[in-house]
Amino acid sequence: MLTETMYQDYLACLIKGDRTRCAETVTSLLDRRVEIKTLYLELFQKSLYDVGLMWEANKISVAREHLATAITESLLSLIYPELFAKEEKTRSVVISCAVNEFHQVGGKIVADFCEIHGWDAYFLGANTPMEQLLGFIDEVRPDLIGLSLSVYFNLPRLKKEIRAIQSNFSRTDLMVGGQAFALGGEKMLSSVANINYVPGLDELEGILAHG
Amino acid sequence: MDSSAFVRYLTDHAPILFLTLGRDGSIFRMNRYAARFLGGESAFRYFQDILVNFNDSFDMAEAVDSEDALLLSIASTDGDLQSFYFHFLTQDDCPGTDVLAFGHTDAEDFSLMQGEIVNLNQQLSNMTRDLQKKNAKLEMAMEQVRQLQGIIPICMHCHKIRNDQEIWEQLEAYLYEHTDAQLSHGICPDCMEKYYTED
Repeated sequence: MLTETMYQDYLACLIKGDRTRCAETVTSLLDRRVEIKTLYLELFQKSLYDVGLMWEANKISVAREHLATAITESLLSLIYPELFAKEEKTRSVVISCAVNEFHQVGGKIVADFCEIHGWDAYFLGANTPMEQLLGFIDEVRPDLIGLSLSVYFNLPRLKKEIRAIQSNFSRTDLMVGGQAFALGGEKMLSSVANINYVPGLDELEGILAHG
Repeated sequence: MDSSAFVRYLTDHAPILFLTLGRDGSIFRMNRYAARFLGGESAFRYFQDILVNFNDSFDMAEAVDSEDALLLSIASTDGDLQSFYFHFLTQDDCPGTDVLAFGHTDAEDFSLMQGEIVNLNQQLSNMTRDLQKKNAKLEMAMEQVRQLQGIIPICMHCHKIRNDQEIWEQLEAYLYEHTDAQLSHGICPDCMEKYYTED
């Protein structure tokens, strides 16, 4: 139901900053009962990856990249009435961005994806201070914790954060993911025990199904 | 591209306002960017008219004498307001004693705004998410409250309750299913007397 033409049209509007037209596409797909998962995978995630590639190739400015991200975040709220099902959820997950990590949309998409799969997903947002994160985990006592990292240079801070979480909540499963790892950050993880690296939403589905 | 072509390109495309004025502020010429922003040379006769000048304090003669840049706000043809730092340069060596007015935006302003807008958008979208999540939980709780309202058919002898599927179930089972209450066994004084008092 989400055709290539529709996708290309959506992407063009996203880069142009035409939020209204993008919202119309999302609303129309929701009206046609397109699976929410499809919207996350084939519209939001795909377009953000494409926008990122265009920026890397100097085809668009950083301002346009930020605009496209901001529009996408606002479009996610169109999905929320469908996403947060009115049913008891027995498993919970806390998703957060690392300290000094200001790119949050990837983490938010992961949190929403967890909701789709029946998890109660709390999202703490960009640049969450470590004390705040540890305090929240202590309060909620989730079954799973996820940390998102987009910028490679923040890896040392993430490592520190992982150690703090593991020493305070040794029995809680921990996963990490984000674009930083696609650029070589995965090597860092080899020095950290008991951590799941999740390269994408497809792999996340596997973890959520068995979690 | 030679240097004069480069200057022409710059004045046409860079986000700067470049106007040639008379000493009284009358507009003679403007660069392409200014024309796009202001709607063309014929749109205004005087520089003073393009300003959003709330207290009418702008004085052309003072502006020309000032060595500092003046921050002035202008409304575009679309009605958008934008502030520019203006430098006024007299061209004493040119005929007609023209004044060059050169206006540029504050790049720091834009950078600051871009960062803040991204921040605010993130916070707003996180709040929307929290709100929707809480709303879903609230609706779920309301549904439970609704289930416990109204008339509940109860057997006058064994006190079993008839549920939505027309099945009679134990009161304890019904409460367990429809509320968050935990039941703890005990014996009331009447039953204590009835079942445990020796005759």
